[in-house]
Amino acid sequence: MTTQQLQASEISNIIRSRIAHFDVTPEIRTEGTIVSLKDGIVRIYGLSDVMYGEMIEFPNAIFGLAFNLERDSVGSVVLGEYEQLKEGMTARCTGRIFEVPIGDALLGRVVDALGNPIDGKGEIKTTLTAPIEKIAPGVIERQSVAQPVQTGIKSIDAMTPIGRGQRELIIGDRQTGKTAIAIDTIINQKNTGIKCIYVAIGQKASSVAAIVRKLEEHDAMKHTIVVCANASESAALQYIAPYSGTSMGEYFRDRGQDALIIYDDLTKQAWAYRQVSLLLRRPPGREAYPGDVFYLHSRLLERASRVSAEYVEKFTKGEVTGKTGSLTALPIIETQAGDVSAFIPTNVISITDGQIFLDVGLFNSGLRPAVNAGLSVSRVGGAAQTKIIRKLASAIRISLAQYRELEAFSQFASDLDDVTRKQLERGQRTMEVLKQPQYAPLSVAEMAILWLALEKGLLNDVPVKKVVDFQAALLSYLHDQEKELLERINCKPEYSDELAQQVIDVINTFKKIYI
Amino acid sequence: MTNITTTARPYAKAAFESAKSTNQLSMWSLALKKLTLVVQDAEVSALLKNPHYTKKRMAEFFIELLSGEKSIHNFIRLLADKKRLPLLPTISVLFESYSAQESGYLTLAVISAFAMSEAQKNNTTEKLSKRLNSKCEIDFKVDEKLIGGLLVRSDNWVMDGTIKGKLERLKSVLV
Repeated sequence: MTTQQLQASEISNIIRSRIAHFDVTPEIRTEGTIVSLKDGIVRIYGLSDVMYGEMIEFPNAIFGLAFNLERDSVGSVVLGEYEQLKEGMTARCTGRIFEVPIGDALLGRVVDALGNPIDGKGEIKTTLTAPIEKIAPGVIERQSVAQPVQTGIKSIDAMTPIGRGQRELIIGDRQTGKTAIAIDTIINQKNTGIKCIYVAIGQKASSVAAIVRKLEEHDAMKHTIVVCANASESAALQYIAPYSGTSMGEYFRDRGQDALIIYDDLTKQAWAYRQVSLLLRRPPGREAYPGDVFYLHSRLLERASRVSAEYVEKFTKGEVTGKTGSLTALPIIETQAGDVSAFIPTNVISITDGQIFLDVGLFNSGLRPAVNAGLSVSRVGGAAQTKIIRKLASAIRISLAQYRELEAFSQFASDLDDVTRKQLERGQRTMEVLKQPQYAPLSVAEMAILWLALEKGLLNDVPVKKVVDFQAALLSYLHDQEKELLERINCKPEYSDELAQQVIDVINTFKKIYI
Repeated sequence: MTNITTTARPYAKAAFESAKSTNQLSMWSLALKKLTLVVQDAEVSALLKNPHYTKKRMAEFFIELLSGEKSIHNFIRLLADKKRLPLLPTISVLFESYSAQESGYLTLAVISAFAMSEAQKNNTTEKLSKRLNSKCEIDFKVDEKLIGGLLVRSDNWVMDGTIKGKLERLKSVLV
């Protein structure tokens, strides 16, 4: 399609300029010979001055990465198809680290781990590229996390708030709604200016297609890049996909914008890396992972950060001033039967600034999103939480903890004293308020009003089983009748007694109609 | 291939240093070349795998073929003892590269599309010696596929000034 839109003169002009700038001096390089080939691993004889991680060029424009530098040979992984390679072919050094295209043109697109478009929408019109492996910003260049990323999910924004530049792990068994949280968060970033990158690693192509369709349905693809290394692609591509995605996110961070990156999921990336490492005959360690599997994730997640205005100014050479940039990371880890003490989960828990733990038991009992309040934490997000939510939701964690303690007694409800029974009922209602359907993220105002209703005991006369319906009805009433109030809270999310009174009046008016 | 070179390297280095210290480089070089030819013989290579021959007998067999210094006899005994006699061809190649390095000569292969005249060869040798800052020992070869220009190669270092190489680079720039 795009080739038809191009003008003939345009093409010949490009070619002419490329020929004019073509370097005709003799090329000096080092060459090697492929001595063995197996499962995407190439052993090369020669290439004596190759560097670790350098791109190696094979015939027919096939590329590989130098991984194992041995005395007489180089072990390399081929990126993509390796069927055309044969023993005896030449391999040459390029002196470069692998690069992917970056820029605003990638927004709304689906690309593979190498940055090639795979959505059938034609070429990506950007001239900028960035190496996939970069050193994370240093201490001086950073700034502490102070602005929130609103996920639009009640339980997360209230109990484990996420700040811009934070790394918050989403961890849980299969089928507990990890991806759902990520997708809801992307949808909620519409109109906030936060650019999103969704990196799908080792997933079914059909799942990725479904996610892209959902994002399009909710008009969220405009601010999103999807990087995808499907299960059918080579382990090397699954290994580099998160790094490619991070480079695309750093483009926004370094230019004073905010970006959010989701790695779905890093367990599969660790598997891919384990496969490559074992084929390269690196010694296996715990759970057969290689010795540097911690560094694999730490160097990746360290690149998610909030950088200072000075850094942005220096990077853009004064074009952008007075703006901090951030890259928030939401890595996802899949556990086996809730075992968070396995190798990869413990590693990533220790690297990130907190985790959202999703529980199968809660999920099956109907609490969705199945966030386990006891095991989920956010180590830095508290500083970034909006004031109104912090004021209203600070007691939820404690009240939930008390509820869980008393839950065992709830079977003997008739024998309980008044105070205990009230605490139990309060806990049950809190659990009900935490329930939220998928693809329906809430604004700060909506959440604040619901938490206020709970805090002030306005839900006490609503039967526990009706709380979910009551919430939905209240929200639609607010959108219908009290748009101004919602807008006011969204513009200035601060708590005041006067505001609280106004909200209480609104809810009481609504209750007269509803009950 | 790679494993053989790695195992042969320490032997070649030791042999070279021993030969250098006693000023017998040419004798060692000749002996190693001779032994290489012997090892590459089909019957001998079968013999090396024959379990009926003890290490000692194998060493004596090779020593009988050589006259010369005692040190070289010891070297063969050592190789036989460690079952490394099949490495002899690789050791010889490495030995030659060490002695070339020692003499200050660079061994280069220059490949051109057409056969060069003597004058052209001399000119190339002179220019390359100047450029690389060392005396060169050049092996001239012809490969018509290069179309034009020269390809200079030394081990895994390559200087590509051929039309074929330039066309390939132009292709990668344009596509």
